Amino acid sequence: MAGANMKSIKNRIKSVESTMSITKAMELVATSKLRKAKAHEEAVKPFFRLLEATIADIIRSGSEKNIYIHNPAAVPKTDATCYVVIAGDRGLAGGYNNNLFRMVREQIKDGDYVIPVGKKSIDYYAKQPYGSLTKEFSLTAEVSVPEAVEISSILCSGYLEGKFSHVVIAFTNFVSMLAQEPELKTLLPLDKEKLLAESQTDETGDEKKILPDTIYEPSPEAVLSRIIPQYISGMVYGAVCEAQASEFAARRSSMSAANKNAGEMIDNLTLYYNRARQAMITQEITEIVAGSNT
Amino acid sequence: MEGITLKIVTPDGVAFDGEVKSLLVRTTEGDVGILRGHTNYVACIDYGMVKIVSLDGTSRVASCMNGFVSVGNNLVRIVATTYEFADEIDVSRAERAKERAEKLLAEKRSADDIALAQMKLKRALNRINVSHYVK
Repeated sequence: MAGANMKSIKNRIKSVESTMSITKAMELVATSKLRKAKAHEEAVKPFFRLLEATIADIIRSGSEKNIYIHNPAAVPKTDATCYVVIAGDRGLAGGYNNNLFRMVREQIKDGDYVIPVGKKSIDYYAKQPYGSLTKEFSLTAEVSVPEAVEISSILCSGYLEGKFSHVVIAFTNFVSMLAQEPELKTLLPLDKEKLLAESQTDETGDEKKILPDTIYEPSPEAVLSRIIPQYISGMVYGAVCEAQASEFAARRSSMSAANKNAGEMIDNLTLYYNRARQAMITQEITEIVAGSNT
Repeated sequence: MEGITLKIVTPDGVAFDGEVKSLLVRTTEGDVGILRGHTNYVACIDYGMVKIVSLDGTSRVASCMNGFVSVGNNLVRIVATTYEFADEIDVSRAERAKERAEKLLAEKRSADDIALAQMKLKRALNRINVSHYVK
C-alpha cells in the first residue's frame, strides 16, 4: 500500500519538474524577446514625434480644415467605430489577452468594425458579429512597417468613404515590467488640441518656435492629407511594438509565478514522499519485530 | 562655408543624423536641392531618392519612400517609411518583388489587388533604380 503511494508521489514530482522546466524556458525566452521588443519600441519613437510635430506645425500655420481632424461642427454620417484590436499570438500570458478583450467589449456596439491583429484576436473576433474589413494579419510578431502601412490605408480609406467615423486602437500599454494595462486610443478623427499640446516642445525640450513663412508643396492641405495616413501607420506600428513588449512582460511574470508555484508543489510532494517512505520503513520494522517475537 | 544638419528617421530608427554639405530630394513636385540657408519648406516624398553630399564632397544615394522632407533653420528632417542607402538595398529581393507584382498585375484581379500590386511594383522599381548608383 505504502509502496504504491510512494510510486505515485514520485511520478507526480517528476511531472511537475518537467512542467517547471518548460515554464522556466518560456520565462527566459520571454525575457530576451522582451528586450528586443523594447528596443523596437524605442526606435519608433523619434519617427513618431517628428510626425506629430510636423502635423502640429501645419495646423498652427492656419490650415486646420482637414477631414481627418476633429471638427465639432460637422455631423458624421455614421456613428460606427472601427476598432483595431492588437492581442497576442499565444496564450499562457496571464490575463493579457482577456483583459484587452474585456475592455473592448465594454465599448463596442452593433455595427462597429474590427480589425483583429494577432492570432488570439482573430480567433476571438471570428465568433463575434462585428463587421470585418480585412484579410487577416495573423501574427502580431510578423506585423512590421509594410503591414502597418497597409492597416493604415485600410483605416483611412474606410474613414474617407464614411464607413465609420471613428477609429480606435486597442492595445496593451507597457507601464512597467510588472504592470501592463489595456488601453483604448482614438486615432481618427485627430484631436487638434491634444496634438498641439503634446508638441509644445521640440526634441531638445525647448519651447517650440513657429517657423514663419514655411512653403508647403503643393499645399498645406495636400501635405496634411498625405502625412496623416503616415502618422496613423506610425501609431499602429508603435502600438504593435508596445503590445508586443507587454505580451512578453505579461508572459514573463506569469511564467515566473508558475515557476514559483511549481517549486512549492515539489517541496510539498517531497515532504509527502519522505513521510510515506518513513511510514513504510516503520511498518516493515514493526512487521519484523512482530515476526521475531513469535 | 558650413553645412546643414540632416536628420533622417524611419519607424525602424534614426537612419542618418549629421552634418552635410547639400542634399537633393525627389519630392512629389520634382527634384529639390537643399543648401545652407534654404527657406522653410515642407514637401512630400512618395517614391523618391535622396542624394546626400557630405562635407568632404563625397555623395551617397538612397531610396526613400512614403514620407516628407521639412526644412527649417538649417535643420533638414526627412521622415519616411523606408530609407535605404543604395549599397544597403537587397537587389535580389527587389527583383523578386517586381516579378511577383508583375505576375499579379497580369492576372487582372479586382481593383484593390491591382492597386496594391502597382504600389508594390513601384516600390520594387524604385529600389532597383537607386541600386544602380552603387559604384
